[in-house]
Amino acid sequence: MTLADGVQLVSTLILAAMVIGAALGVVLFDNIVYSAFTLGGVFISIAGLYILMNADFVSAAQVLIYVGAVNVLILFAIMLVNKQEVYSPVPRRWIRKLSAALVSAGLFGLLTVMLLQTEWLPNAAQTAPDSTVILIGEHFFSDYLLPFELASILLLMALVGAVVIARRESIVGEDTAIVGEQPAPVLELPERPREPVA
Amino acid sequence: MDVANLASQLNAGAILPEGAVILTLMVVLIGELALGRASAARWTPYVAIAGLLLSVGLLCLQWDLTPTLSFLGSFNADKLSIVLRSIIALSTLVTILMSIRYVEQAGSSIGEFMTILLSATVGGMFLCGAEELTMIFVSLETLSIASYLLTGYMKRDPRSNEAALKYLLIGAASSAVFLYGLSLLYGLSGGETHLSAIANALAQGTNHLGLLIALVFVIAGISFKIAAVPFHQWTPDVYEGAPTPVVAFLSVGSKAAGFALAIRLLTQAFPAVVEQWQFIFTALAILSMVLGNVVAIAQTSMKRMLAYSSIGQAGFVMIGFVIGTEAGYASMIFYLLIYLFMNLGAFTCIILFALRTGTDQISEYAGLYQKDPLLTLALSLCLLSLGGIPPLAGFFGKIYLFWAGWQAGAYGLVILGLVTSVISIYYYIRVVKMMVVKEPQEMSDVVLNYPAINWTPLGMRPLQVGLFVTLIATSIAGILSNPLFTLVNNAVVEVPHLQTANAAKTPMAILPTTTPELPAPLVSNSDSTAL
Amino acid sequence: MFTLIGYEYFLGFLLLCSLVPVLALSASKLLRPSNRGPERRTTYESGMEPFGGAWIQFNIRYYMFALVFVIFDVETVFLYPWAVAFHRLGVLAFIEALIFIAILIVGLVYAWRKGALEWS
Repeated sequence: MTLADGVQLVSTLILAAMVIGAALGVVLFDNIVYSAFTLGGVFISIAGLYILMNADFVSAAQVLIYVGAVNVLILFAIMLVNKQEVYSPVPRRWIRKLSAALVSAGLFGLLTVMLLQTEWLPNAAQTAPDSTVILIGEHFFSDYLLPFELASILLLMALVGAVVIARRESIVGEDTAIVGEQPAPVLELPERPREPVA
Repeated sequence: MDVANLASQLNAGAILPEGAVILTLMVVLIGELALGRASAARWTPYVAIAGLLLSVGLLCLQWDLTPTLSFLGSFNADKLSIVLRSIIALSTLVTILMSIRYVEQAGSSIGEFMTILLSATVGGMFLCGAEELTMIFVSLETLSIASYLLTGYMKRDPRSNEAALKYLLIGAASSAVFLYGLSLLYGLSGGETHLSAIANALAQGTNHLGLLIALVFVIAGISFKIAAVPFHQWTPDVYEGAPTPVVAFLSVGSKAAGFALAIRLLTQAFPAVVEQWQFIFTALAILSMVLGNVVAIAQTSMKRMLAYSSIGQAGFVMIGFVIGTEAGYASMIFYLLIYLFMNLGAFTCIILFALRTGTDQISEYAGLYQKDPLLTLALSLCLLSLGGIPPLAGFFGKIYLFWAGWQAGAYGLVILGLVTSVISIYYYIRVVKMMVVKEPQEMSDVVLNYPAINWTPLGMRPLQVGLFVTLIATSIAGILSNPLFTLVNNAVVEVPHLQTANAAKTPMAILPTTTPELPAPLVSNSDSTAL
Repeated sequence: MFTLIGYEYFLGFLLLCSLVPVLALSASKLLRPSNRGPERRTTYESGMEPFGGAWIQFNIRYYMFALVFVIFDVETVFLYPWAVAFHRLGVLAFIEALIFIAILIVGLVYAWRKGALEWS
C-alpha cells in the first residue's frame, strides 16, 4: 500500500465516522437547532466523500447548495417557528423507538448483505477525465440536455410556488383594494370543515 | 459534434407537445405579471386551455410518425407515450375547466395556479416518455413538487396546510426511497442510465438480491404515486384537504403518470425479475381493491369517499398490469382513458355542489333531485359509471380489464375484482339514492336553501362545459368504444418491450394477437346490453 | 482510485486549519490569569446588560430571501459547467443555455414584481 492509498483510506474512514456521527446527532438531539447544525456537518462530510470519489464539482455543488443554501433555509425555518412548546410525553414511546430501531437495523442488515454479495460491474467509461467540470458540461448539453432544460422549469415552478406560499397575502390584498371590486381573499376551501366526530 | 449533426440527433420535434405546454405556461406567467392579477383571471385559463388543446393536437399529429428515440435516448415518443401523454394533457384540460370558479371564489390568484398546474402537466407528460433514469427522476419531481404546492394552495385553510405538509413529508420520503432504487440500478448495471442499456447489463449479471432490492424500492416509489395500498395513507387526508380541482388532477393525471412510469420502468429495466414484480403488484392490487372499496363504504365526506374509491379503481387498473399480456396493457390504458372522464365528471359535480352550498357531506346531498336535476343526473351517471353499471363507459372499461385477466388465467384476481366492484356499486348507489329517492320533507337544509341556478358568474361557463363534456364522454364512450379499443391496442402493439415482458412469462400463451378482432366479443356483447 | 490532482495541498491545509483552534485555545489557557468571579459568566463583561433570550422568532422576510437564494444558487451551479466548457460546446449549446437562462429570468422578474426581493 502506497502512502497515497493509506492517506485515502484514513480520510475515508474519518469522513465516514463524521457522517455517521453527525447523522446520529441529527436524529438524537432533542433540540432541533442542534439537529440542523449537525445536518450541516453531514453535508460537509459527504462533500468530502465526493472528493475522494473524484467528483470535485459535485462536492463543490454539495457545499454550495446544501450547506450554503438548504441548511441555512432549514435554520431560518426553525427560527421562524421558534415556539418553545412543552409536549406531553407520548405514552409507550419506547415501543415506537424500538420498532423504528428494528426496522432500521433490518434494512441496514439487508443492504449490507446485498452490498457484499453483489459483483459490482466496473464503470463502463472508466477513463480519468482531464476536467470533471468540462465533462459534466458536455453531458449537460448533449445526452442530458432534456433533464437539464426540464430542471429550469422545475426551478421556475418552485420559485413561483415558494413566493405564492410564503408571501403575506395582506400585500396582495392592498393591490386588489386599489383595483376595487374584489373582496379580500379568503383562501380557504369552500367546503365546510367536518364536525368533529363525537 | 457539429451543430447540424447534434441537432438532428436531438430530434427535438418529439417534445413539441410539451413545448406547447411550456410556452403556454410562460405566456400565462408573463401575462399575469404584465397585465395584473385581476385581468389575468379573465384570460389566463383560456390561454391555458388553448395551449393544452394545441398540445393534444400535436400529439395526434405525431401518431403516424415512426417512433424514434429523441434527445440521444432520453425521451421515447412511441404510441404508448402519446396515448398516456394525451391522457395527462386532457385531465389537466378538464381540471382547468372546473378550477376557474373554485379558485376565483377562494380569492386565490388564478394565473399562478395555472402556472403550477401546467408545470405539473409538463412533468407528467415527460414522465410518460422518459427513457433514462435522470429524466425519470427530474420529471417525477416536477410533477410531485407541483402537486405539493397545489395541495397547499388554499393557504389560510388549516386543512389545506395539513394536507400539503403530510403529502410533502410522505412524498419526499418515497422519492428518496425511489431514488435509492434508481441509484442501485445505476450501480448494478455498471454506470448505465438508459433503461434498455440497464436491462442489457443486468441480463448478464447474477446479482439477484441487489436487483430485487432495487425493484422493491422502485415499486415503493411508484406505488406512492398511484396510491396503492399499503402506500396509500396520505390519500384520504390529502384528498380531503386539497382544493377539489387539485384532487381531481391528482386522482387522474398524477395517477396516469404513475402508471406510465410503472409500465416503462418495470417492463423495460426489470425483465429479469418479471415474476417478482408481477407478484408484488398482484398483492398491491388485491389490497387496493379490497381496502379501497371496503373503507369507502364508511365515509361521510364525498371527497374522502372518492379518495378511497380512487384507491380501489387503481386496484382494478393494476389487474391489467400484473397479467403482463398485450390485452392487459391495452385494457389498462383503456380503463385509464375512461376513468379520466368519469372521475373528472364526478369531481366537476361535487365542485359545483360545494360552490353552491359550501359542503361536501354525503348526507347533505339528500333530495337534490328536486332542486337541480341536471347536477343529479350528471353525478349519478358518473358514479354509476365508476361502479360499472352497463351502458356507461365504466362498464366497458371494467369488462375489458376482467376479460383480459380471465384470458391470462388470473381467475382469482378477476373474481375478487368482480366482488369488490359489487361492493363499490353499493356505496356509489347510496349517494344516487340519497339524491333521487328522498321525499321533499327529507331534504337536507342546504338543499332546501339551494340557490337559484346561475351560470353567469366568472368561471361558471367553463364549469358547465366541463360538466357536459365529461357527461357526454361517460355516457357514450362505452357504446362508441371501438375506435378507442383500436387506439389503445395500436399503442401497445408497437412497443417492443411489452412483448418481451410478455414472452418471458408465458411464451405459448393463447392470446388474441391480432388487434382488430380483440374487442369483437366485447362489442357484440355490449351492444346487446346497451340496446 | 483517487485521480484528482492538487488535493495534497488541500489535505495539508485542512490539517493545518484544524490545528489552529486547538493551538489558540490551549495557548490562551496557558497564558491567561484565572478568574472565577460571577462577572465572568455574563455574556458581555462590559457594556450593556443582555436581556431576553437569544432565541427569538425571526422575521419571515429572511425566509423569502433564503428561498429565492436557494433557487438561484442551484441555477448558478447548473450554469457553471456550461461556462467552463463553453469553448468546446459550440453554438447549439449556447442556444440551449439561453433557453435555460430565459426561463429562469422569467422567474427572477416574477420574484421581483411580486416583491419577494423587497424588504417591505
